[in-house]
Amino acid sequence: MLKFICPICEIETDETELTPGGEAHLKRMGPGSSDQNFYTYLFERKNPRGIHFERWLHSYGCGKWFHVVRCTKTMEVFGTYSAQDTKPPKKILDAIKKKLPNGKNVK
Amino acid sequence: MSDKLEFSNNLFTIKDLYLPGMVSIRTHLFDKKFQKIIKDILKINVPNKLEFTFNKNLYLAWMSPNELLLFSKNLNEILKLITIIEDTLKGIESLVLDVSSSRTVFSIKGSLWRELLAKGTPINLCPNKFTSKSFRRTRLGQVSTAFWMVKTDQVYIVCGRSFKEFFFKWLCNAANEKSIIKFF
Repeated sequence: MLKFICPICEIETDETELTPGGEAHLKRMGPGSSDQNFYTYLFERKNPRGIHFERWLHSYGCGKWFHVVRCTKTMEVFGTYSAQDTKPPKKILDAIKKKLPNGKNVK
Repeated sequence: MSDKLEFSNNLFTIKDLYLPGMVSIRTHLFDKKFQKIIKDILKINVPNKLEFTFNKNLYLAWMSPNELLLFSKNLNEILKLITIIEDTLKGIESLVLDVSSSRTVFSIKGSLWRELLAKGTPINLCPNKFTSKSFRRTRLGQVSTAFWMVKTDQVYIVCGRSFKEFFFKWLCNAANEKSIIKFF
């Protein structure tokens, strides 16, 4: 069972209270982009075995989105941060670096 | 669907608070002007995160960073307040909406209510975590609900009206006397 701390409620939330929103920090390819770029944006999502940046919705609670960094292999949660952040905070990146000294898989 | 639902056994009395009044207020909750208006009209402070405040039968609860729920058992009281709040909030970016007919409220009476709710929700209901100030929106069974403690032996549970009957059955089933384990 995954447990995250909702950065808005600042309280531990259970996986069953949340709705997954897929890969985080996507760059939107709208009108004007090439067909291939639009296709990639729309359909091709990363699903790594390792560290993953995701969006989650606290759907049964405050109803707000937030970001999560977790490892899909070990289920370790590195932290959560606001949906308005375009980059993960330094604290989380440092925590990941500690786990992976060579910095593999880190965005 | 407008039947008054009621259930009781030796431990619990579950009652549908027939036609309660509820208003959803959406705005910048930390805005001082808004907080003063609410205090002037309702004589209640704007609640902190995951908490509620009250004045007699009027409850004001934190739903999300930009939403409050105003609740009263008396629908007429709420209908009167809506127009007053709407008028005074003019000029402040806000939404005041009567949600009385889209939601319903159950009351559970019985000192073992924590045992009953813990069967369906993932949140921590320990007396030192879920206190007399707490207001939580969470999952109960498969239903999205919000609940708070009115008295030490009574909780109010808000749920959508469209699954009122399903949820009532769920509660009655969970209230089975033989299945209460007295954990808390």
